[in-house]
Formats: sequence, C-alpha cells, structure tokens
Amino acid sequence: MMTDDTATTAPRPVIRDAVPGQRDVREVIRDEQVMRRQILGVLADGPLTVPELAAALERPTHEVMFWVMGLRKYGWLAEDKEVNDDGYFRYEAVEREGS
Amino acid sequence: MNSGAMERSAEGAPLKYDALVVGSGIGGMESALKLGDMGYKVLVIEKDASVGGKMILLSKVFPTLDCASCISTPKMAATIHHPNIDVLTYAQVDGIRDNGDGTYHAKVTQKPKFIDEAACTGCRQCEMACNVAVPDEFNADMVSRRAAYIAFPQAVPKKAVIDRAGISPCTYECPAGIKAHGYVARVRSGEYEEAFGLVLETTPLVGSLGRACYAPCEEQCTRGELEGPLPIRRLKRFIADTHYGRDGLTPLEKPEQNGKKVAVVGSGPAGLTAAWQLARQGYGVKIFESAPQAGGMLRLGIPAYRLPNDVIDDDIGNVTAIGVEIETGKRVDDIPALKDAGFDAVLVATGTHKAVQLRVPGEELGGIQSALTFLADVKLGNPVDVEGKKVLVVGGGNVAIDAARSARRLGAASVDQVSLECCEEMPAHDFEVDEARAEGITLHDGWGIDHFEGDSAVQHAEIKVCTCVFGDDGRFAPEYDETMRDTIDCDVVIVAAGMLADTEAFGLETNPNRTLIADDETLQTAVPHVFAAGDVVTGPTMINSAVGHGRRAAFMIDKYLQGQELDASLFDEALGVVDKNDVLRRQDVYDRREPLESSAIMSASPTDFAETEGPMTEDEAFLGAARCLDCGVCSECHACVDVCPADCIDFSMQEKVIEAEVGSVVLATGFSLFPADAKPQYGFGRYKNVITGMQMDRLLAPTRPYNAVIRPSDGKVPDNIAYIMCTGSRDDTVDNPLCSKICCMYSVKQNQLIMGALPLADVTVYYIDVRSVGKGYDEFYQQARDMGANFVKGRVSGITETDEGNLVLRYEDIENGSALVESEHDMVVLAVGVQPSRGVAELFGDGDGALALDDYYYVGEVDEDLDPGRTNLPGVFVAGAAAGAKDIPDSILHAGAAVAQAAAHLERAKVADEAKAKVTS
Repeated sequence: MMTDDTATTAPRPVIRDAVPGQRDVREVIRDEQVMRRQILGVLADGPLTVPELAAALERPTHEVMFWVMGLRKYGWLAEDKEVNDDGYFRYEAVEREGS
Repeated sequence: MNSGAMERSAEGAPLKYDALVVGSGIGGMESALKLGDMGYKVLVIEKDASVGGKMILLSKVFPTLDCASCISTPKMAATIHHPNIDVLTYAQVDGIRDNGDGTYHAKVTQKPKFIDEAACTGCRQCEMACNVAVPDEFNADMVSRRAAYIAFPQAVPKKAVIDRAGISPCTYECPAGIKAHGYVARVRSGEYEEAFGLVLETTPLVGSLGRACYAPCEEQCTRGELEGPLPIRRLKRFIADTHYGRDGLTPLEKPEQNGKKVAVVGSGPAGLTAAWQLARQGYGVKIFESAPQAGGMLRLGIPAYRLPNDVIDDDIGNVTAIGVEIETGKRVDDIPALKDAGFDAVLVATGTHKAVQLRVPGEELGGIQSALTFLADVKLGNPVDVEGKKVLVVGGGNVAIDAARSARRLGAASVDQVSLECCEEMPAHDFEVDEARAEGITLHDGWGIDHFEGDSAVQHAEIKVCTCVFGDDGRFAPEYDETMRDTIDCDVVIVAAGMLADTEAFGLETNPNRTLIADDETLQTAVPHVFAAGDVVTGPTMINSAVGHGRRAAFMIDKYLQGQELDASLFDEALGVVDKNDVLRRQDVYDRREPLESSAIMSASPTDFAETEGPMTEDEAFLGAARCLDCGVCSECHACVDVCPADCIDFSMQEKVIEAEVGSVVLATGFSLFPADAKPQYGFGRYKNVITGMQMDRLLAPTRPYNAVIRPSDGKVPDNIAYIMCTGSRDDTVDNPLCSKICCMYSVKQNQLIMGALPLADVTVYYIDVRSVGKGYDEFYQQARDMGANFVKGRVSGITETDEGNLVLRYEDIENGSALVESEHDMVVLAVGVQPSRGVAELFGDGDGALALDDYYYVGEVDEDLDPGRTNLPGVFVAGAAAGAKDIPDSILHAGAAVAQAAAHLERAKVADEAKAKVTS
C-alpha cells in the first residue's frame, strides 16, 4: 500500500561545484538565452550536429540538446532534412520570422 | 469564463450551477459535456491554462492509433463552447463545503493570466519575444518554454498566459520602481537598447543610477543566498554606457502635447524623473533650478569619481530631448504663485540643500565650511583651497565620506574623519568606509566634536568620546564621556552633520524639521495644484527613493490634471514579492557560479577624480546576468508588451476569488505519473537517454519537442530502444502493488509508432507479463510482435551507462533458464505507471464532510462494481482515473456512470423540492 507523502518539507538546496552532465534541468534551460548568441555565432560558419556544436562550445552534449531544441522551437534554428551517416541531424541558424 | 451563457447571480452573490466538474481531462470533459447536453448548468475548473488533460499530449491512442489531438480537440472545443458549460482555466478549487442539503459551496481562485483573453489572438508574438526560459511541463521538461506562453499548439482556449510567481525581490525592493529583473533579463539576451528603454520607462537617470545608486536590489537578490548577488547596478551602468557610447543615437521622440503645463521646482532625481514622466504624457514641463547647473544632488553632492558630470549631462539630455525646458539659476520662492504664470500644476522637488550646523564653540572660525558647499564647489569647478592642508571632516554618513575622499584627491596633506558612531554603526555604507580607509583617510569613529580652537582660522578641534548617539526613543541625542578627550590639528574643517530642506519662503505648510507637508500616498500638499516629492518631503534619502517619489508625483499630477481621483492603489504593483525560499526550492542543487569581483581601482594617494569603478565588459555583463535565477519567473522586461499586436497584456491583473453554489460535484482530477527517479537503479535523471513513456509519447507526437525521435543526450537517431515495463507498478518496493493498466498498451503503441518512424531501429520490451485486456488489445499486441518488436520476459535489475551514452541493462532472462544477462541499448523507455492525484480529499476538509479515499489513495467509490462513480458524500461523484487507473475508453465510460449518478442526484433533489413546494402550498 502506498504511503501518503504529500506533506513535503523540502530541504534547503545546496551549491556545489559543477559536476559535468549533472546540472539541474531548470538551470540548464535558464542558460538558453545566454547561450543563444554563442550558438548562433558558431553556426554562422555552417550547420553542425549537436556533438559538433558541443565540442565547439565546450559544453556537454545533453545541455546543448536543450538549447538547440529550445532555439529550434522558437525559430532561431532549423534542422537538415536527412540525418548524416552517423545518425545525427545538423542544425543551422535561420532567419527568424519577423526579424 | 468562456461561454458567458450562464444566468448570473446578483453582483457579489455566489454563482449557481447544477454541477461543478473539477478537472478537464477526458473524464472531466466527458462529464461536463454529458451534463451540459442534459440541460444542466456546469462549471468546469481546470488548473492548467488549457483544457484537455493528459490525453491531448499523447501521440496516438491505442488500439486504433487514432491521432490523440484529432480526437481530443473536438471535445475540448465542444466543452469550452457549450452553451451550458462555463470553463475556468488556470484556476484552482480552494475548498468545497457541504451545505447540508445535498448541495455544495465551492470556493475557486482564478489565477491572473495577465492577458486580456478577449483581445488575445493567440499569435505567440509574446512567447517568441519573451526573455525567460523555463522547463516546458507540457513537453515533459524535454525542452524550454517561455514565461509568456501558450500551453501547447492545440490549447483551448488558445490564449497566452504570463507565468508570474510574484515580483522578483530585486524589482520589489527598488524604491524607484525600476524593473531590475527585467533589464537583467534583457542584458542576458543581448538586448541592451531594450534594457536601456526599460529603465527609461521609470526614470531618465539610467547612467547616474548605474553608478551612484546604493542598489538595495542587490541586497535582496536571491542569488545572494547562494554565492553572492548579481551585479545589478553595474549591469545598469553597462546598458547606459553602451547606449550613450553608441554612434548615431536615434533622438527620443517628442510626445504630442496635451496643452497643459506643469512647473517642477528643483532638478534633482525627483524633479527630473517627474518631469520626464509628465513630458512623456504630453505635458509641457518646465524645471526651475536655483543652482547654475541642473542635476540637484547628483550634480552638486556626488563627487565625479563616483558620478562624472558627463553621465549626468547624458541623463538630463534624455529629459530635454523630449521637450522639457530647464531654467537654471532661477530660484522660486512663491510656489502657489506659479499658477498665475500659467502652470496648471506645480511639483516642488527642491531636496535638502541646507546644511545642519554642529552648534559647538568655534564653529564660526575661518576654514570651517559645510560639506554640501565644499562638494558643490568641487563639482562645479569653483576654487577650493585644501591642497597641502590638514583637513578634518566631521560626520559619519556618505556625504562625509564623499567630502573626505574629495579632499584627499585635491591634495590635502592629511584627512581625518570624526564620526559619532562607531564604525559598524556609521550611516555610510561599509564599502565606502573601506574605500575611504584604503585611500588613506584616518577615521576616528566613536568621537564627537567638543569645540574648535584657533585665532581667526581654525587650528585644531578638541574631540571627546561619544558613548551613545541616540536616545531610547531613537532620536538623535548624543552622550559623551567628558573625561576622554583628544585633539586633532586642522587647517580646514568640513562639516557633514546633516541636511535640511530650505522651504521657508515657499508659502506651504511645513513640518518642524522644515520638510514640506504632503499626503503620504498622493504627495499633494494643502494647496491642491501643488505637489511635493523627494527629500524636501521625506528628508534626506537615497537617489532611488527620490526617483520613486518623483514617479509617484507625476502619476498623481496626471490624475489631478485629468480630474480623476488620486487613487494610490492604482500606482502600486498589485502582485506581491516572491518568497526567496520558494525560488531556491525549485532546484535541489545549484551549480556554483561565483559573483563578479568588484572592479574598483583603489589608490592610497588618489590624485584625480577619475572614476574608481571601471566599466563592465560585454562578457562580464553576460556572465553577471546569466546568474539570475528568474525569481518571479516573468522578469517584467516588457518584451511581450512591446510586440503584442493586440495590446492585450495587463500586468495589473489580480487574482480573483469566485464562490459558487453547486447542486453536485464531479471529481475528474485524473492521475499523476509515477516519478521515474524513485527507481534509482534505472538511472532516470542521471542517464540522459533513459526517458519515461510520457516523454516518448511527446517525441512521437506531431507537436514534439524535438524534430524527430532522437536521443536527449546528443541528438542521435536511436538504433536500439528498450522498454522496461511495470516501472513503479506492481512493485512493492515503491509501495504500489497495483497494475497501472495502461503501460503495456501504451508501450505496444509506441513500439509500433517507433518502428514506423525508425524502420531500422530495434525495439526490445522487458516485461513480466503483457496485459492486453480489451477489445482489440491482444491483436494490437500481436501486431507489434509481428512488426518486429522483441518481447523478453524478465525484470531489469539495473542499468549502467557507457561512455557513449548507451545503456547496459542487467536482467533475468526467465524464458532462457533465468540466466542473468546484459544487453546494450542506445535508449531506454521506462513504462511508468500511474498514481492517484493528490490533494483531492483536502478540498473537502476533515470531519463528517471528509471525502473517503480508497486504500490506494484514489477517490473511493462506495461500490465500484454496483454503484460506480458514487463517493461517500451525497452529491459528490468521481469520474475517470481519479477513481483508479483507467485507459481512455474506460475513463469515458466511467465518466458516463458518474454523470448518470450526478443527474439522478439532481433530479432527486428537484423532485424533493417540488414535493416540498406542493406541501407548502
């Protein structure tokens, strides 16, 4: 039988030094606005896959996924139609509607 | 409310409905539609911004593989447009009380959406412009959404909502009313001009405040609870420097004149801000300034090493650019008489430029002057003779520190400072005291002046130990130890003992301390057309307070001149400040991000008035702004306001409490998904390619968060996907022995969709047994097998991750001798089960009227076999998965049962009422 654990007394959050790959999702997503400029800068030279972008930015690939997909959702990036031989889509900067 | 077709109760009285439906998932919508079709008046309450529940977020439904959106949206639209149904989205039921006669009283809170729904066209322009990114709960946190958002593309109503948890502490704390969080968010997005424009909405003094403000915002910054606050003030300086440093600035537009004129007496922060605000609204504004240059205390009181004159000039240039006329060297004494000069209203904002005297023997000696005079002379370039002299500064406030540091720069041989207060209690800010000491100023804290001595000019001061500065009543009443004395040699004494308003000639009512008497809220004086703001009313304060007063005065003068009531509540922000602890609790762990170090360049022997604080580089500004926690969620950056074509954004909206009398209640609160991280051996949250069934459904949906089914870790198209069934179901280790009923079939559905989307991908399902009970379900399961899905009977005990992000599953291969086997996949989907929605019982409270839950915390039915939908409370019914795990067809069926029960209850009540009426007649 399940226990009624609705009463939560959340402990105070802790600060820690960066553990690669383990940042809170909220924190990663918050950085999207800051990373936009850098990502668009890197993509100015042509489309890249997420791992290629991550290498250029020196950031974890899963964090770059959040930013790329967020920027794609809001019209800053678009993907190639086909995946490359390694199974990755490439993403390029696009002119944003209304920009 | 959506339809507006209901008969309304009298103003203020509770609304009346036959039924209240709580929740608008498939069970709630079905209940409402059926009751509405029967002619009952229904109120639906939905906590999210759209109706539709979880079903609308699915890819397809099993076993027909119909598009979930295609079959949901007609029901959503029907619900919202039904003539007998009112729907409140973004609302919550606070409580439901039994009236004792089979009816109920419901209290509902409508959260403000900050959007005029009638005007919003759902164009998403606000969302596209918004500067705050948060996890998108409608996409299972796989991508961001914005603080201004439309829940999802098929949302009904398709209207934007602005997610505001409260006012961010930095913004709330600013006495000037500057949207600090807003301009930080703008800087973070690289929108420097827009950031400048946002501050301009409050005050023209962007550069001055960026340097000389004491930044109470930073004291309240939530990041200060972690490593240290954001450099909010310096970000403001950055946007001002960037703006003023641009080539070819676009001139500010002069607003169209409304024909009315306002005189502003005084050109300090309050006067300039008020003039700016009034001129922007079309008033003809003229500022009268007695000093030779405009700027008030900014110009005359703050040394150039803190606030250079060219920055003040730039800021004042904003004011004059929109048509404000400034006449300097013009002292105005008879304030009310300005009306005769053609001004419709007058604002007095003359500040406190009169020095308080020490009133000690020898104060009349030569070489003794006030700090205000000294600082003004220095700033205006008048001759000041302190070079090579021994300077004594008297006072412990910021003005005293400014005077001492200025004297040091002018070549004083020595600078001593005497303060009544001990160092920790000095009114000056700690950092200023530290900087003064670093520049070689000798501080004598806890000492007072007994007298000055000299022939015609001061030669030394006798000081004595101050034992107490303030009396028990908090008033200034220093006490001394007369036995403890010392002497300081000095050629020049600069006294900073306080500042007074110079109001005697104004012909207005004053307080004993000579400040003007004005209404605290409206700032109107006893002379109706005369208002007063800033230090002349409050006594000496900070620049930001004076700016806030000036802004308030402009608001009130505008109301006065329009003949409107001076309603202070319209000026203040309605929303409260967000709780910092709530902000911090949004994350379990924070990545350490050290604050930007101070850029102050200190010299032990400063020789000029060059700024001590250097400018921020763009990278520093970015890094500084990036530390913002978005406390209020929405930053109030007004990007949405700037782009909204329908002008429908309204930040003044407030929460509304709605009371309703209802004849019955249908609880359709659905279920919640099992939290996958409660099975840590599967690595959800740690291993990026371990996702939940709902996340895979989102990846397969037409409105998916990614462009395809790809791995969250790196965007690779997966070749080999595993499913782990019964995650959190039939599992005593997580206290849930129940089968969730839907996981097998939604996994089978996803298997088929994946094999359609990724024809080359392998799909392996690790299961205990497959439960495919339902019409066509077993055939659906067989179809997945026939398409190539590999079903392996065995429970997975754990997962590890390879360097490539692949996942190695360990499981017992039951059908092959129960061997312990490992297999590698590049993506794992956890078929998470369901849990009861919590908080439903709390709506009814404890005691006799309490709602009974079953042993598993679902809403209890008195007899789910023979009397489905009926709870222990007469007139309260449960529909769909709120009563236990159900798939969509069963939820609809169950909602039908609940509706029949509710209708029977309403009809019984009607018959009883009619019978009672018959007896009475």
